[in-house]
Amino acid sequence: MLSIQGLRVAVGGKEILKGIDLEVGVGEVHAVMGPNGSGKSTLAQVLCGREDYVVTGGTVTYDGRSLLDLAPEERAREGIFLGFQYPVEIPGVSNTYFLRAALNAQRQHRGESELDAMDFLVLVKEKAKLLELDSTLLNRPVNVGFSGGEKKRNEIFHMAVLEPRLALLDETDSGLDIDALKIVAHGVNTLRGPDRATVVITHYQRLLEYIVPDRVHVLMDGRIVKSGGKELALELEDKGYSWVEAAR
Amino acid sequence: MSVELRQLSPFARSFLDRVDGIDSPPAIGPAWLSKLRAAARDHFAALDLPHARLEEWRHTPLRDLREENFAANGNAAHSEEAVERSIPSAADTIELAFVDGVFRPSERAAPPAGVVVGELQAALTQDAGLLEADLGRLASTEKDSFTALNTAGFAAGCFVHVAAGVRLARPIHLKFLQTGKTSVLPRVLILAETASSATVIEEHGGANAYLNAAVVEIQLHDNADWRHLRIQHESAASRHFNHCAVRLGAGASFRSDSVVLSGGLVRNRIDVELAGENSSCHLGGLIVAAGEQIVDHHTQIRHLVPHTRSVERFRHVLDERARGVFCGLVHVAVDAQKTDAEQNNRNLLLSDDAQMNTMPQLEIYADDVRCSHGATLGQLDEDALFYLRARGIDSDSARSMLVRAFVEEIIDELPLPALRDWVRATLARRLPGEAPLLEIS
Repeated sequence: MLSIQGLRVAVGGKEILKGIDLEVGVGEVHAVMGPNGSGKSTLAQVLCGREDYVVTGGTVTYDGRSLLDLAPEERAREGIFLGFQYPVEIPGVSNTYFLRAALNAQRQHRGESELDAMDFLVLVKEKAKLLELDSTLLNRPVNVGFSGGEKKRNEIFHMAVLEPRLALLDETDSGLDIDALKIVAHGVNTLRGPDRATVVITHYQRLLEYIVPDRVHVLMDGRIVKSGGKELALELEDKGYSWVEAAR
Repeated sequence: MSVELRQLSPFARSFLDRVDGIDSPPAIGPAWLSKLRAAARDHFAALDLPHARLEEWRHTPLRDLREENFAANGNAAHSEEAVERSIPSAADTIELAFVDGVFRPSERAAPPAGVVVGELQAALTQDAGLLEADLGRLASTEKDSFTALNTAGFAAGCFVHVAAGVRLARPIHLKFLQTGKTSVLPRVLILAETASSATVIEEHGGANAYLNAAVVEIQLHDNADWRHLRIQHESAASRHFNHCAVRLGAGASFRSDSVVLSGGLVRNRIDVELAGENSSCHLGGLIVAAGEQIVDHHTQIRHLVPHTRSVERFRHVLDERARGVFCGLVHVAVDAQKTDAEQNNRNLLLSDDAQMNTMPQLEIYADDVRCSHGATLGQLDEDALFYLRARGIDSDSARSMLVRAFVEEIIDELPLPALRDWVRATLARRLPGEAPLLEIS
């Protein structure tokens, strides 16, 4: 589904990703782990089309098409979702208005009819329940006045409504207590399916107890230095990133 | 006189010719008014139009106004567009409409007992005592050309009087609409007696090139609680100089929102005197400008006694070559301890050629006060744009969504749902995209 080959990315003239190779097959869940500053977030942002990230080499194909030529909104409409590490506050735009505009833009792209306010409301209520999201957060401006945990839960709520084919979750676990973590993991697991894929980016192994990955990759200094099964995450937790470094 | 005429601008000369005529508005009316007008006429003759070198007018060029000669009521080019596009009034509104400075009667239910909303000319006989005491009391003509011009020459206007203790639920809607190349000098006097309450919408709109020099005086007696809106949807060729002067007694509360949706040159001067303890005012502003438009707000809030509070929140959205000016003076008199004054000015520039001049001015003579001011100037938040796009919303829609969100925060605070919808619809014609943003589901 997603094939990254030799991807090199620079930000502000500094090379952050130094040749990434990653294959994510349909139906799979991958975890990308790594210490701070290893390039995890850069990878997520560049896959979503952030314009201040300059691709200096390599290719990314998604469903056999080159992804790098598409604008951020085109990627989203093709089914790619980014759960932001730092969700953005947007005063003056209600959470549901925003989400309905996004969903309808995606549906339109797929040749489906737009959801009217009533149908949308039914959908939103159902998904909010799944994420145990306080219903007052639906009509509030996007992320404004949300706690850190509420923001992260809101990201997964967006994901649940938009039902992406490829979800990239950038440190969704940071700032969540254990109960919230379980709820978020449940939301992600509900969306798992044979025609979808998920890439979980995280610093800690904790989230992977609840979202069990098929593959685990260790990203260090802009390169994937080790890949393995789910047991790799436990090994990392046990021995720390220095263990991988020493083994290189 | 001959010396004076030689030095005057053609604009000033044409107006003086008009007010000096034997059948002009100043030539008729009670003696006290003639005296007020004569003084104003002399002030105007001495002032002429403000010069661009004056600090107050530095950012607001009057351009070719000096050379213009506005016919008294010439309507060569005539368009009812502004009338058709004006704010529709709800069934319960107490409405008073003027088209090209002429009262246009409508069949509306009369105001309830204790409330007068009528033509100024009629009030000059019916409420002569009240008018003599208060007309011209707040809006001094000495230093303001346009206030002097209005006072010297106004013909039509409104008198609003709400008796003590009357809380008027029905909104008062004063409409001043222009259809042709004309000049109008609307005059409004609002007297709010003790513990009265009401909402006044002051609407100005027009098509074609016209001059509007309006003066609105509002006296709020003790514990009066009033809301005022100035809504402007004016033509690109228009010039409007508005002076709103307000005085608050003890415990009185005043909120005024300035909503400028279009115009050529708009200059709003707003003076508020907090003259009674525990009085408070809130001045809000929403300005959306494009093209060559200039919108200037000069506010002066004078805290004269202890325990008064003021809040100012102005927002500009400027596109193309539009220019915005916000100059907010907060004066705290030496005795005005425990003053609480807050001023905030946020601006969005959508083009490289748009320009905003923001000038907070604090004059604080008391020592136990809390005064804050802040101004921001910027373009759309790139992080927010990316966030919207990463969810599938295209770039143009995302931009328009963020612009409308910026203005919606102010629109949402306006009174009357029908009015909010009208403002949204009017803006939707200028900002691409759909409204509203803060829908409730």
